[in-house]
Amino acid sequence: MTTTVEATSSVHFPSPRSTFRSEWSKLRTLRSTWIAVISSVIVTVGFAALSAATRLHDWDQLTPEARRSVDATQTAFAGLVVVVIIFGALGVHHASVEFTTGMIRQTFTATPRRSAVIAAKATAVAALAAPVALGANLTAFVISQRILATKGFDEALTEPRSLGVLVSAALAVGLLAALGVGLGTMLKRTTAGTITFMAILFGGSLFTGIVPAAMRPLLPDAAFQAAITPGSAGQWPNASGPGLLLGYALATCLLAMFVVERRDV
Amino acid sequence: MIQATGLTKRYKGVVAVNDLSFRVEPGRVTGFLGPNGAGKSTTLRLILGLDAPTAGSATVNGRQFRHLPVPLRAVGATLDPNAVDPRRSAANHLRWMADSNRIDRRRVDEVLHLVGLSDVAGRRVGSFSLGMTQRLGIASALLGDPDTLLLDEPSNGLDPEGIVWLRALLRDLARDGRTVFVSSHQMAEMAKSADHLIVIGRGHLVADAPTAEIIRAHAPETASLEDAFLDLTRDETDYRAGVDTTATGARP
Repeated sequence: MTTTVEATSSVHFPSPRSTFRSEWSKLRTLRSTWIAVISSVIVTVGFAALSAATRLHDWDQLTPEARRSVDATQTAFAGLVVVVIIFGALGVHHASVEFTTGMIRQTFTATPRRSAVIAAKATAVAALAAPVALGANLTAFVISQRILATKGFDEALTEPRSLGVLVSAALAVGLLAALGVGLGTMLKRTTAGTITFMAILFGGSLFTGIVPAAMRPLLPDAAFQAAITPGSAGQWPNASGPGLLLGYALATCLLAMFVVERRDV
Repeated sequence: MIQATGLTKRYKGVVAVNDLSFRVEPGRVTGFLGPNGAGKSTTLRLILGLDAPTAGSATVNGRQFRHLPVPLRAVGATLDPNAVDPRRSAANHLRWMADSNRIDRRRVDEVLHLVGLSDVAGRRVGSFSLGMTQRLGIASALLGDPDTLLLDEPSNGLDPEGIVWLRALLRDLARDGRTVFVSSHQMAEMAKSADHLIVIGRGHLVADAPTAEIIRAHAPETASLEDAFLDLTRDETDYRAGVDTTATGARP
């Protein structure tokens, strides 16, 4: 007598891939996602153009040092903090809405591996936010550059210093959006999650006296500043900014997984 | 087959489910009855692995829910039909579910057709009536063509035609050899659709017997399941409307 061993019995579907597809499908099918995408592009490009035009307008009043500090990456990031808030709030809400509506029960019935759901959710949000931010940053850079070219700035996009920081800023947006997913999962409420996100993003610069000066560069706001600061001429920017933000996003999501695996839903 | 063994759930000192053991057999419709707050929904959440039991265990086909290889193909469940994101369309709601268990997206159209929602597939769920939302819940339970169905008050909000349809659907599913476990407060409906009943009160088992037998034993004169149920749960009811008040609720 032969027994057929079911080869699939130990294979656990909902594979990470189908869990990601499911979370991507959730994200894609909401109008609010596309409103977030379109508004981030408008804000990035619009603020960059305004910022570059303002630099030109104020040119005669600028000190020589201020004139030297003007560059197309700086003006390209004029609206970046708004984009971080848009995608951070989207990340928080994409997780918290499952708890506020109760849909999380259907999600966890379809995919009982809860950590895999949170990982897929964070990846989906980051995979949307980072490329959108990159596209918007590149467009904003090119437009800023054209405007500033009238004063003799012709910073090449292919320059490592510029391209590097545009990429690193886009990564920062994606990682902070993933951090939002972790917060939304842990706190289960959109308002609480968004406020906490803002506190993490701005807390370090608002309450400077609380943290010793030596530790300040490690705070999320300092990490974000590092991620959007260009390196020296001919140099790729320092990877410590995105690296630290990756650490914060991972830590938040791991904590969210730990909590959600142990909580009744 | 669903098996509960010594299932117990305590929330901050309140016992919701207390040492509950029963087995839901395939091939028949099993009704799950109990007064408000008896622990029915908690039991269903424990079976689905959404809540962790304080003691005991619940299994589906001999496995804990979270160890089922393809959950939606094994178990279809509707808990709260309103627990959906109101901004998503009915079809898109089912699509993310299908994607999560690698179910062909064509199955989404099939189940929408089956529950009669094909014409409103693209409409936001937030614009649905309770009956339509309930049908969407039933569609999501059927999505994976599962052997086991777990439905929490699926007839709530359905119109008379819908109730007749649901009754026939549950019968057909049971006749296919599936396990069908349905909670309800609608006794007349349960008397018609359930072959077997599991009755709980205050978290413990009150009865586990064929419907006909329960009616015979507890309401021999009226042959009404409602009377049998009230007799069975007389001492197990937590929430009872004040008997002193008049019909309008005004105190004298």
